[in-house]
Amino acid sequence: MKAALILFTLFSFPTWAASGVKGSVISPKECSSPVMVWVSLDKDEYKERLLLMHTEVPVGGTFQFYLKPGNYQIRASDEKGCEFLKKIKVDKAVGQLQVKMEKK
Amino acid sequence: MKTLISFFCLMISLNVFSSAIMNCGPNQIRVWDQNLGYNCIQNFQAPPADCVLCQGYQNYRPFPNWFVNFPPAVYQPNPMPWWAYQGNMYYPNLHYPGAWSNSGSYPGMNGQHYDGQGNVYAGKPNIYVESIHEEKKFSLSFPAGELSFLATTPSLDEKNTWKGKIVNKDRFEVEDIHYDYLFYDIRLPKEKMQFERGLCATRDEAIKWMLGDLKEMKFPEIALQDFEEHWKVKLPVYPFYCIYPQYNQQLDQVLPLSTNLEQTHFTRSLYVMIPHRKEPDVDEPQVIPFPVLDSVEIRPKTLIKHETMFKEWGVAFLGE
Repeated sequence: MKAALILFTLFSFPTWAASGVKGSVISPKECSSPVMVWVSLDKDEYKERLLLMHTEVPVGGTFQFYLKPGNYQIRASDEKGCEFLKKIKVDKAVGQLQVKMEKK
Repeated sequence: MKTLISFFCLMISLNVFSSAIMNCGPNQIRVWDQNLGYNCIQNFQAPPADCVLCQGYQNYRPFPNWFVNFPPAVYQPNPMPWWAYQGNMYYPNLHYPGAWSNSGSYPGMNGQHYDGQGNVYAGKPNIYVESIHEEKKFSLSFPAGELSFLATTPSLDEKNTWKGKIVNKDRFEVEDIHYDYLFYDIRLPKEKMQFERGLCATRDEAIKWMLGDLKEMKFPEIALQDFEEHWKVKLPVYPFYCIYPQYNQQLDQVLPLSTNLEQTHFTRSLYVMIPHRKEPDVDEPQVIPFPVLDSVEIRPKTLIKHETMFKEWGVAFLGE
């Protein structure tokens, strides 16, 4: 019975389960809120800068991008010029990301 | 004297009639202009006075003048929000809602880069709140199951739900962080949306019309400011747009939203925008028919003020 339940759980896992990245934003005092978080393709020189989406997130807040498996750049910026940049690889799951803003 | 009075009455009735042209005939396009109001026409030839780099407009001018591609010497760009200056430094497609394509029947979103299903890309639906309560627990839920979200802020829980408190009567608090609005991007099916009501206008007039429509539905000032700030930057520069508004009647079927709160009212609007590179002309066959009917007839009316009022705006584009 247990084996049957385990098999059922395995095979009933939804094939549409989202992939992408779930993030939260932290920021030092010299930076400001809100922060704009940008996601772009990271494939080759041209497409690297192809912007897909962006969202405004208050410091401490959370966001989620639902993305196809692939390579992306997550950039964040605020009004005072603080920044964050990270290249990420998305597979068939939701990854976690901490957007840590820094004064440049 | 009688003649004067009857002339006066005639003028008033004509004026009332002309401003009340709501629905158009089958071989007409419903258009809107800030000065002239609504009109029914066959060929929309309004000049695109609202754009400086109207390359789309160049495509159909019989004698293109390449000087028009350069801003005039005293060109004063409109002030942009801080994020647009920064986005401009990194992303050549900042002034588009996302990855864009010009190869389909209409210019629209390039679906190959996005996850999920659905040919309508709803960009930045924002949900605002006005409540009589200084503090009130709330939850807002999308249906469980397969939905094609593209982005959310704050992130949803595993049941596609936002939970938190309404604070200061007009903000959301989720996990101790205050949000002016709840945000999501999503792909939606086109089938249950309406494509006969709406209007066509130039780009600038389209933004003005949508802002006016939101005002009619009594959206809070912050919602209007956010809408104008965002879409002045993100609405691609095409000379003409046809707008097909989707309200509660359509959106509650396509993407129902539920809340735990009683005494609540939800006003929902999503403007599906179809850009046109040249003047809309009824003699040219269209994949999506030009709007001929008045959208005000399906616009939600809020005659009673409820304890908590949610207001949602969004703008959507078709996939290629």
